[in-house]
Amino acid sequence: MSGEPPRDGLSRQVERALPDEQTFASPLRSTALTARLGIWLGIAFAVCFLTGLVSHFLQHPLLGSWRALTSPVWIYRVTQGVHVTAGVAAIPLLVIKLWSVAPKFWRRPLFGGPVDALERLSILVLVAAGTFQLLTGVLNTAELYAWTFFFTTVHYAVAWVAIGAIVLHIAVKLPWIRAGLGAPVRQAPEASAEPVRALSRRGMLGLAGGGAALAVITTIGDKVPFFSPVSVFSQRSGDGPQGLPVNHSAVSVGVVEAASSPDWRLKVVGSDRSVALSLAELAALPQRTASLPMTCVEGWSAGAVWTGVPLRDLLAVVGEDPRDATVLSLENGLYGASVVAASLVAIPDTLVALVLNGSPLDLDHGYPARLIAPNRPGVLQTKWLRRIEVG
Amino acid sequence: MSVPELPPSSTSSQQILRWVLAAVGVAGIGYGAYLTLGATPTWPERISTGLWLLVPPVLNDVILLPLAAVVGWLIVRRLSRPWRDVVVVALVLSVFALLIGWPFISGYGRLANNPSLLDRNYIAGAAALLAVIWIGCLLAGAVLTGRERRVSQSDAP
Repeated sequence: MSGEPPRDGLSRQVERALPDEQTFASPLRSTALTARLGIWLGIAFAVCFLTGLVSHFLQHPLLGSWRALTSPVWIYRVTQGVHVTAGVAAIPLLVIKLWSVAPKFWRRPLFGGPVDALERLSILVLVAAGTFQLLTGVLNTAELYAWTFFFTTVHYAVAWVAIGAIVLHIAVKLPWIRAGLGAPVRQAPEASAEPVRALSRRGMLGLAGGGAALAVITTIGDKVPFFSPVSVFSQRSGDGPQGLPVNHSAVSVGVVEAASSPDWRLKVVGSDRSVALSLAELAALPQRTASLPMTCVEGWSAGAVWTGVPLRDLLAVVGEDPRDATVLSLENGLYGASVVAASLVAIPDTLVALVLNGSPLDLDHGYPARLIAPNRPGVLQTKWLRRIEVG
Repeated sequence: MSVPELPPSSTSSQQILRWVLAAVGVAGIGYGAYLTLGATPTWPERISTGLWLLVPPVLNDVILLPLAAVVGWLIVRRLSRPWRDVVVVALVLSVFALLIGWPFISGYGRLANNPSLLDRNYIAGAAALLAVIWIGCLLAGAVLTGRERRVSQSDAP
C-alpha cells in the first residue's frame, strides 16, 4: 500500500500556484448573460456565414442556380455590406462573451479526464476559429496582410470550422443555454443594494450592444454614405477618380502603357469568327447607360452610372447568342480574367463600359474598356479589357 | 452564478437533438479542417494560419483575462461608485474602438499608387472618438454623482 506516489505531488503544487475560477470571480457574470450574448453572437456568425457563402459561390460557381444574381442589382451590395458589418459588430460581442466565461479556463481540475479534455478542445477550436475569422476579416478590410496565406480561401475554409464549432458548442451547452435564457438578467445583488446603480449584469449586456453599435457606426460609412462623417474607421471616404473609389490602380498591376496605347484593340472571339475593335469603333456602336453599384468583397460599395456597349451586343457582332463568356484583362494577375454566366450576358445592363459618371473611364477605373454587371464582386468586374471569348 | 451549474434534466428528444447537432458540428469542423489544409499547401502558410488560430485564445486566457482582472481590481480599489462604473464603461468602449481601429490607424495597408484606399485621417478620427467616449462618460458620471447625492440627502432623517 505504500508504493503509491504521494497525492500532494508536483501537479497539486502547480494547481495551487495557478489562479483558479474564483480568482476572477465577478458578480457581473452569469449564465443568463452568457446565454444572451451567445444568441447575439450566434446570429452574427450565422449571418456572416450565409452572406459569405453568397459571395463565395458568386466567385466559385458550384450549382447552376448560383452562377449569377441578375436582379435586384443592389443585392450583392447589401449581402457583402452586411457580411463585413456583422463581422465587425461581432468583435465587441465576442470580447464580452469571452470575458463572461473566461474564468472557466482556470477551473479545477485542470485536466479532468478524457471527456473534460474533449470539451476543452472543442472550446479551443471554437475560440480559435471565431477569433481567426473576425481578426483576419477586419485586417483584410484594412488591407493589412500580416500573414503568408491567401486570405480568401483560408477565410472561407475556417468559416466552416467556426460554424461547425458553434453548432457543436450549442449541442454541448443546450441545457445551460435553455436555463440561462429562462433566467432573467438580474442585476448583481451587490449593485442592487446601492442607491444609484450604473453597471449591472443588464448593464454588461448594454455595454456589449453599445460596443457593437460603436463598431458598426465607426466602420459603415464606406457602405452607407450617410454615416461617412462619423465613420472614423471606414476603409474609404468615398472619394476617388470620377467620384468612385479604386481598389487596384493601373500602376499597381503594370498596365499603364498597354492601356494608354493608341494600338489598343478589344478582340471579341466567337466560335466561328472574331473582330478587333478600337475604342472609336466601340464608341460608334449603340450605347446603353446603366446605374450599377460597385461592390468590393472588402465591404465598401458605391453607386455609379456607366455607359457602354451591352456585352450581348458584342457577342452578336461575332454571331453568338448570349452564352457564358470569358473576359480577359491586360492585367496578368490573379484577377486578370473572369467568366460571365450566360444569365448575366443575356441582360442588357451587363456592359463593356467606356464611360463612368459622364466622362471617359479613368485609367484606374479600367480605361479604355471594362466589364460592369449586376451583383458581381468587384474583383470580377474586370478592368482594362483586351479580349472577350465565348465559353 | 444565479443559474445552477449542473444541467437541468433534459428529455430524450432534447438528447437526440443534442447528438444530431454535435454530429453536424463535428462534420463542419472536419470539412473546414480539410479545406484549410487544402488552402495552405506550404508549411509557411500552415504555420502562419496556425499562429493566427492559436495565439488569440492563448493570449485571452493567459494574459488578457488576468490583465483585465488587475485593471478591474485597481479601479475598484481607487474609485467608488458611480465613477468606478463610468471608468470601466469608458475603458471598455476605448478598447473596442482601438481593437477595430488600429489596423486603420496604423496605416500599414496604404498604397502610394492608390490614393482612394485608406484615405481618411484615422488618427484624428480615433482621437475624436476617444474624446467623445471619455467626455460622454465623465458627463454621465457627474450626472450620476449629483443624483446619488440627492438620493442620499432625501434618505437622511
